[in-house]
Amino acid sequence: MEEKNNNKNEGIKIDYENIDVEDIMEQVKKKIASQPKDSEPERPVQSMHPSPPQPAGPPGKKEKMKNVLLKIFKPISPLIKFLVLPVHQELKDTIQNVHITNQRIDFLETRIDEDFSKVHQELQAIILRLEELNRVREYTQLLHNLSHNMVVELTKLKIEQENLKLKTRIMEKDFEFLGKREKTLESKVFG
Amino acid sequence: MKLAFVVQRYGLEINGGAELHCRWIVEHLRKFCTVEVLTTQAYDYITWKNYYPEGEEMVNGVSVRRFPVIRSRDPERFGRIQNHILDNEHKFDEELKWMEEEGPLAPALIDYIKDHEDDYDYFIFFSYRYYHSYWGINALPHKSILVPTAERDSIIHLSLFKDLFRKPRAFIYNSIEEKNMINSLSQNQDILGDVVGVGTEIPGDVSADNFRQMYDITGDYVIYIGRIDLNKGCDQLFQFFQRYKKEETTDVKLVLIGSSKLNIPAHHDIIHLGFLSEEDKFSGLDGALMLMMPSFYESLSMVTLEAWAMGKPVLANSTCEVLKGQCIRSNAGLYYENYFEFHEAFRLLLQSAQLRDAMGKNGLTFFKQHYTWDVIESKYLSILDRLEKVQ
Repeated sequence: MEEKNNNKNEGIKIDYENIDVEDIMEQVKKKIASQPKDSEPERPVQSMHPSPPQPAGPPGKKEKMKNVLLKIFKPISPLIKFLVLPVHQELKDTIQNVHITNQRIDFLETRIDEDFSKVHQELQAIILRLEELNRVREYTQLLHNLSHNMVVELTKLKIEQENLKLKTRIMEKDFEFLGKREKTLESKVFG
Repeated sequence: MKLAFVVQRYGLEINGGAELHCRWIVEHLRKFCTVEVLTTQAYDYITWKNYYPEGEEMVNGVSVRRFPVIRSRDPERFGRIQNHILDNEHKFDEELKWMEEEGPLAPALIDYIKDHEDDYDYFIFFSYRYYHSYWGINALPHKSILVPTAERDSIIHLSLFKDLFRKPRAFIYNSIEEKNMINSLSQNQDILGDVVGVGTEIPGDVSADNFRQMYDITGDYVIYIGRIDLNKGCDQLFQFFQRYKKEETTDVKLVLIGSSKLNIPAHHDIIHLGFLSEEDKFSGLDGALMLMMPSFYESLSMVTLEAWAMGKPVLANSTCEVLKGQCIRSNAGLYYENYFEFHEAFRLLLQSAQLRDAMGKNGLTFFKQHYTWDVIESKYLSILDRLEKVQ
């Protein structure tokens, strides 16, 4: 019986009569892979509608005065804005941030240099080891050649030894024959 | 037939790992053969200091011969030597030096084995990594059977073990993963070996209600049983459990049974009960929704088998090949490699009683097929029988 429990198992199919752990884990892995890694916490939804404009009242004395002052100060308004608004502080903060970032970059550069030098040293060590390995390989090759030559020489010596053995046997036979001949001659001369 | 079981420690007070495994096997095989235990006087597995009296004594009707440890282990010195051989190229002599430091250094035990070769038919060595197994097997390879209890840690790659694994007459493995690992390390497939493991017995008076009453536990809980240790993955379990509790609305509690070598987080849903009796341990397991098994290295998790014997599913750390393999073969447990997998697997098991029941049933069937004492005893006897026939 194959059951699909969407509420609890959320898309993982499980055959409860014949549980297959490998299959379940495969589905779990696929499910994890299909999910976004960092799910952001839900934020309260803000209203999309702007608040309605307030009805404008008739201009009073204060309003007139304000308009006059604004006209007078208009030429120097950028300076006033710069000093009054928090632009100055923001600028200071930004410069501070840039300074810290620069310091961090300097630190990282030094660290990269150090790391590079370490990697370089390790590479040197690896190269040395490789050279050593090559030497060992060459030495092994020499030993191999040496053993090969020794086998060849030993084979030659063995053949030589066989030849000498053969010659010895022939000479033994000759010696035997000569001995017999000597005896025959002696018997004929002194017999 | 007379068998000698050689193990680093032995005693009723030692309640875990290869030593307990050995004791249970000894106590079950005494029905069929004459058995004797050869061990050291050590109790503490870190220093191997002599604790038990030297000589012969009876433990649960089994004759136990204890030999002195001539030098305690200095953990700092040992750590230094181990780090050196693991991190650097080294000579074989240095590995032998490591073995001496690993201990328990009991040369009298090895001398006894050499001198009494004819008194025993076979010497069954437990735990490959200790002094007694290395020198004992080297002394009498033709009479040795090794129960390696090996985990996938770095030490197993030392060259002295590669040779050691080719020496005994037979192997008794704890799991298929352990067998494959040792076979691939030492190419010893030609040596007789079988996957056996160990059985378990459920005490008669197991009651989840009594457990809840006694320890004042209400509501659903999952359980961890064993040494609470960094090496056992408990730290990671605490992190994952707490994170899960933050992300999901659940009242589930994590009950911990076992002595602690770790700071347990102060969380109202993490309850540490300390070391409990077998009855209480099984009662706790009986009331739990599932067993948590976060260990990275296991050669055979006895507590996992106990959970399956109780019909409980397991949530295991898949970094441990043995646990993952056991879960897949039994279809009685889910596993995780990271938090995301932990989250999904834990939620699946927590939310579906049907899944827990089905997996629990699978676990029980798996346990009955492979890990009841009848099965374990017959596998041991079959190996001994095959060795006799070969002789």
